[in-house]
Amino acid sequence: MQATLSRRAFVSYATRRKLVPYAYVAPAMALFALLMLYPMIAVFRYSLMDGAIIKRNPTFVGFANYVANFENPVFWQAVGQTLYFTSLSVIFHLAIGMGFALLLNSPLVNPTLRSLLRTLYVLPWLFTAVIIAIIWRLLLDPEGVINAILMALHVVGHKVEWFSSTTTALDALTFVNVWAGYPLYMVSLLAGLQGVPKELYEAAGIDGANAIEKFRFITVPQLTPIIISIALLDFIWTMQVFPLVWTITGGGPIYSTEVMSTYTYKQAFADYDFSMASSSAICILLMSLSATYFYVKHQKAQ
Amino acid sequence: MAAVSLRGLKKNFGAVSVIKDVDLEIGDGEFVVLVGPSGCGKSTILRMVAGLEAISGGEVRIGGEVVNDMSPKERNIAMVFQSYALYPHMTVRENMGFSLRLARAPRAEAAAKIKRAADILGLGELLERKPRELSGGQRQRVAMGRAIVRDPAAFLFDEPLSNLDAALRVQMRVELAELHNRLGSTMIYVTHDQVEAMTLAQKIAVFNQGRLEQFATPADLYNRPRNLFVARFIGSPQMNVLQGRVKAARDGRVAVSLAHGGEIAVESGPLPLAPGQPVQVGIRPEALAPADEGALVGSVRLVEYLGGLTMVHVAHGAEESFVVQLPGDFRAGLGDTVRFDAAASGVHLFDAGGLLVAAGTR
Repeated sequence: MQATLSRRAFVSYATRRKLVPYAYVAPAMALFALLMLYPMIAVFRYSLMDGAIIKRNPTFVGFANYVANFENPVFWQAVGQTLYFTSLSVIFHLAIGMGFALLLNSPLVNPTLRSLLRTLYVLPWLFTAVIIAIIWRLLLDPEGVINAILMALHVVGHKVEWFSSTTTALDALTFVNVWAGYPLYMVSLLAGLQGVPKELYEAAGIDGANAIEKFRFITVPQLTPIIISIALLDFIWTMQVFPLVWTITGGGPIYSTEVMSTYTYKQAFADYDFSMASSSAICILLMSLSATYFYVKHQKAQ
Repeated sequence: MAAVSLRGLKKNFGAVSVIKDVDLEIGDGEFVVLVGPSGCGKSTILRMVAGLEAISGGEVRIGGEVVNDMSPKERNIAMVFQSYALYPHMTVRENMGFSLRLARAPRAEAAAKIKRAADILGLGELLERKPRELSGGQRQRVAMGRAIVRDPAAFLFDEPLSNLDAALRVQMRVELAELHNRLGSTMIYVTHDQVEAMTLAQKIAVFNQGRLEQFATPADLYNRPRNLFVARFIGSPQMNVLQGRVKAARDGRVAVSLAHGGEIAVESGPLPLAPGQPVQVGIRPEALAPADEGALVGSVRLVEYLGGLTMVHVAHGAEESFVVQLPGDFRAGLGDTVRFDAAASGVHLFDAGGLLVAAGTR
C-alpha cells in the first residue's frame, strides 16, 4: 500500500519550529509593552519636561527637574528616611521571621501549640495596609493601649505621641511595617527549614556540634538562597511602600516620615507638578534597579 | 577503639515495641554486621548506639562506660549514613575537618589528620571539591573520610553501600574490608544484604522483628542456623524448605520421608526425635547434585543461566518446589524429570516451630 505524504506546508517545519516560541511569548510581551514599558518611557519623557500633562505645550528642560529635586533638602531627607525605613524593616523582618520559623519548626514545642502559633503568627499578613494603619494608630494613640501599658510598667513617664512627634514617628512607622511584613519571611524560612535533611543535623551532632553551631554551620548555609531571595525582594518592595506610610502619617510630622513614595505622590497630587513627580519616580526606579541587579545576579548564580 | 555492649536493650514507640531485649557483646576491634529484613530494627539499634535515638530500656556501653544519657558528641563514635549526609556547602576538606574544627583542634594537626584520611581513601585530588561535584562512590569515600578523621571509639555504618550501583558496591565492600584490616577499629555495620554481611563481618547479628535471632560467625550462621528464619536469611539462593516426617532415628542418624516422595538422611542433632514427628527439611541449593538414583524427584520449572552457575527451579509434588545450584554447563529442558541427591552436610532439620533439631556437619 502506498502511504500518501501530506501536502508540504508553505513555511518549512524547521522555520515553524523556530517561530513557535516567539508566538507563545508574544501576548505576554505585548501586554508588558503596553502596561509597563510604555508608561515607563512616558514617565521618563515627562521628567525631562516642564509642566507635563498640566500645560498645553510643555517645554523640554533636560535634567532641570532632577537638579531641582537634588537641590531640595526634603528630597535627600526622603531618600535617607527611605533607606533607614527599608534597611531596618528588612533586618527585623529577617530576624523575627527566622525566630518564629525556628520556633514553629522545633520538635520541642507541642504540635497543637505549634499549629495555633502558626495561625497567630501569620495574622499580620492577612490585613491590608489600611486595616493595619487603623489598628496601630489606635494602639499607639497617645491615649491608647500601648501608652497605658508602658506607663503602668513605668517604662515611659508621660503619654508618648508616637506618630505625632518628629523624634519617634519614623521608628514607630518602621515598627508597624516590621509587624506587617515578617510573616512572608516566617513562612518561606519555615518551608526552607523543613527541607533541610535531618541527617545533616545528626551528622553534625555526631561531629560534635551544639545547637548554636548546628544553626550556624547547617541551618544558615542551607537557608542562604532563600534568605537572599526574600531579603532582596523585600528591599525592593519596602523601598516603594506607599499605602502604609500614607495612611498612618502621610509623611509627617514636618517631613519626619517622608519616604520617596510619599514625596513623589505629593509632588504629583498635591502640587500637581507631574514633571517633578516623574523625575522623583525615576529616582525610585533607579534605586530599586540597583537592588534588582543583585537579585538577578543571585538568581543566575543559583 | 572500644568494645560495645548492649544489655537488655529496648525501644518503644508509644505502645509499639520495636526492639525487644537485645543483648549483644561486640569486642574491641571487631567488625560486626547487623542484618535482617527491612523493619527488623537494625538501624534503630545503630541509632541508639550513636545517641540519635532515645533508649527505652536496658543499656548501651561503649568502652565499658554506660552511654545511655550521653549526647552523640560525648560518645566519641563516627557514623556513615546511607545518604552520606555530607555538608553540601562545604568542600571535601571542610567536610572531613568539620569535627576537628568544632573541637578547635590545632590547624597543623587537623591538616595532618585530613591528609592521612585522604591518602587512605585516595581523595587527595578532590579535597577542594563540593559534594555535588563528586560521584556516588566518591561521596561514599568522603563520608568514610569524615569518620576516619575523628579516630573514634567505634565506626557505625548505616547501609552505606545501598545507594551505589552493583559494581561499585562490590568494590567499596572490598575497600571497607581493607579499611578495617588497616585501622583495626570496632565497626558496626547495618545492612539488609546478606552477601555484604557474609563477606564483611567477623560476626553477624541476625535480627527479625526487633529480636536478635542469632549472633555468630558467618560460617556458624551458614552451617548451624539456630532456626528457620536465620537459615533462610543467610545463604544465596535461599535454603529450600520441604515438609517431611521422621521415619526413624537411631545410631546417630535420622531418616526423614518427605511429604512429596523421597527420603533424606541427616546426622541427628542435639534434640531427640520421635518417629512420626513432623519436621521441616532445609536443603541448601548448593548441597544438591544430580544423581540417577537420587531421592529427590521433580520436574524442571525454570532454568536460570548465570554463566558460571545455573539455577534450576524444580517442582516437587503439587505444592512444593526447590532450587538447585549447578555448574554453568548443566543443561535441562522445561518439564524434564530430574533426580537429585543431597549432601548430608547441607541438610538441616527444623521442628514444627522452626527451631533447628539436626544439622549436617562439615
